Amino acid sequence: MTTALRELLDTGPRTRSGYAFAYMDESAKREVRRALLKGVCIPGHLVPFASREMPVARGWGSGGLQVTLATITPKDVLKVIDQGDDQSMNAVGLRELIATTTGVPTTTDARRATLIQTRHRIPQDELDEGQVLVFQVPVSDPLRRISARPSVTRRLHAEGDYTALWLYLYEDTARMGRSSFTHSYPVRVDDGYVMTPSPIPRYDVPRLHQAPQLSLFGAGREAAVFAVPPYTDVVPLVFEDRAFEPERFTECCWRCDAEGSFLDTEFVDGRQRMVCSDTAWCARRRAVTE
Amino acid sequence: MGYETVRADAGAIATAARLAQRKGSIDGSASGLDLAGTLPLLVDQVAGEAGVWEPAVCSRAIEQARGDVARAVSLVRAWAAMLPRRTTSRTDIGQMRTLRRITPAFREPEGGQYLGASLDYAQRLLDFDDGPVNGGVSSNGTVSANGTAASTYAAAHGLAQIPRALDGLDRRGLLSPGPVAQAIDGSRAPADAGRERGAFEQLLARGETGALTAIAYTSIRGTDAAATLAELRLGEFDVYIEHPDTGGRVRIGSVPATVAEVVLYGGRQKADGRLGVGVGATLGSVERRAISAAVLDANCAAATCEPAVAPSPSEDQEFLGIALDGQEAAGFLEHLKLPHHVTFTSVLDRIAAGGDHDDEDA
Repeated sequence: MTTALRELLDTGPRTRSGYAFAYMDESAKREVRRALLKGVCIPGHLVPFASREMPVARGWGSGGLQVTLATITPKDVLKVIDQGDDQSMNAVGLRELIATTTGVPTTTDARRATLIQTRHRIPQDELDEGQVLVFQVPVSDPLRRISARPSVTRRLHAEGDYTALWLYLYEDTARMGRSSFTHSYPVRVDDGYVMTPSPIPRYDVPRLHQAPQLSLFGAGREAAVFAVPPYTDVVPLVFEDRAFEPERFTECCWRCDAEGSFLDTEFVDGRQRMVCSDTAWCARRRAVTE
Repeated sequence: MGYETVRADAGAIATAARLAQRKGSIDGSASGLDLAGTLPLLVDQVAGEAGVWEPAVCSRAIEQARGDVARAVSLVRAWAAMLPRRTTSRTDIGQMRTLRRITPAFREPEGGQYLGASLDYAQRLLDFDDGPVNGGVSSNGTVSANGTAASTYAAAHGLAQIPRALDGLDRRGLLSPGPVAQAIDGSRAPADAGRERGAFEQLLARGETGALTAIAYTSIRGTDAAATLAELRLGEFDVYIEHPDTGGRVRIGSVPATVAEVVLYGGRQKADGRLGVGVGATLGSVERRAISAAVLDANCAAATCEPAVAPSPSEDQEFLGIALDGQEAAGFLEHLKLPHHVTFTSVLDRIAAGGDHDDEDA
């Protein structure tokens, strides 16, 4: 290898000493922060940004990662979950990347964390003011099922024209008596833009309404961010005479006996058990009772 | 030596193949790592899809990705993403130090044709002889870089540079150039910049090789418009920047690239009465990348002039913007391997409630 190349490699993020704080260069962080500020000012609005290629694949949390790395400070305490689980493979990978490039302490306790990056869940603990919740977003536009074309959906958002989405919901209801939306249930934010809450279950959707934390959403592949500031109205799109239907669980958690938490299926000794999807919350409850 | 006049007894096929099988990158200079020597086109593909010319880094990425091109491109792009972009450099096709130039649309273009290094006409017989990978062909660079032939010819004919093959038709007003492309770095600009032709051409330049080939192919296999490859050039561009102190023009290196220009007749262009033009350029020497890019650029430029009600994928810039980036496609496809049990619980809940089975990507 030539000396010039060696120097080139040494200046890149190859060794730990070669990392910038939080991996991204400052101009990239500034770009993301600007987009996020705009997002906070216009709740639920999709803000395009120059999404960088990250050291994780597109579609594997590269958007959430950019939001986290652009906002994290040395004083933060980090928690990363996937499906509610701190030990899920990709969550571990992301946490290691963020922790080693920032040096911030990590935790599994949602109450202690100041910054939580999540995929598909909101922690079972109620979050508080000052906490930041970063969502990884695969499909950023709630109108995607209306049109695959960003040029079309951009115009619909700009004109506040959600007729097609309401019609979609109406047809669902007329045909089946209920909405067919499973996760990613579309919500209206601050009585303005319609937004996807990311693929969280319907159970978590009402938990975004008037929530005290700042919620930031990052879609890396689709190069967009959006936000829900603290204490903002987040209302699922439902007809006046229909109730919003979260997932229902008839059982309580097999491990911690919790009632009303979001449950996941697990096979223990060949038997199907319903257990809390928030593993850290579940473990804490068990530690207390024991 | 125009390639249409080449005879086997002139040894052109063998010479072109020997050039193509030389170790090292297209300019004959072997880089520090072995891959650029033994698998130069693989390195070029990674460099092209990454949009980063640094063969040693690309080789390293291929090795660390165990030969997975998509992952190698990801490594290179992520590495380059956090490096500062100090400046830009302008060039044009005439400035290329041409190592290979063919003009399928013109028998004897101004500036001539040069077969250069190519396996195009070599027989595709798998060689089972032991020995070097390239079947015993001398690999020590004894064949002089015949790229010099192009510049020698140009000099001998009093040409400062080899002109673009389409210049003649352009002067006669027979080309319908489509929208002007602005130089936009889409990797550092918000996504909606992708609607500009310049950003689209960058997308094409870095497009996934298979996707480019497949979609360009669908457009030439029997659609209305007939595509003709006007020119294919392979060579090197010197990169000049303005010196930060003196303001003078300084050469800081060179990058190899392949550039194709395609003209389109018929289809959308019919009413215009002129030829549509598309240009495709990519780093390195994987020629079908540049040709495919030129075909798709020509299609989309024509569609801009005369939008279709129901555009086909190959002329639908918005669709191509979604489909062509290998990193987005591979990343999202493979994210299906990540756990989805929470979202799947939501799906099962709806099924249990008697809803339908509609779901969406998560």
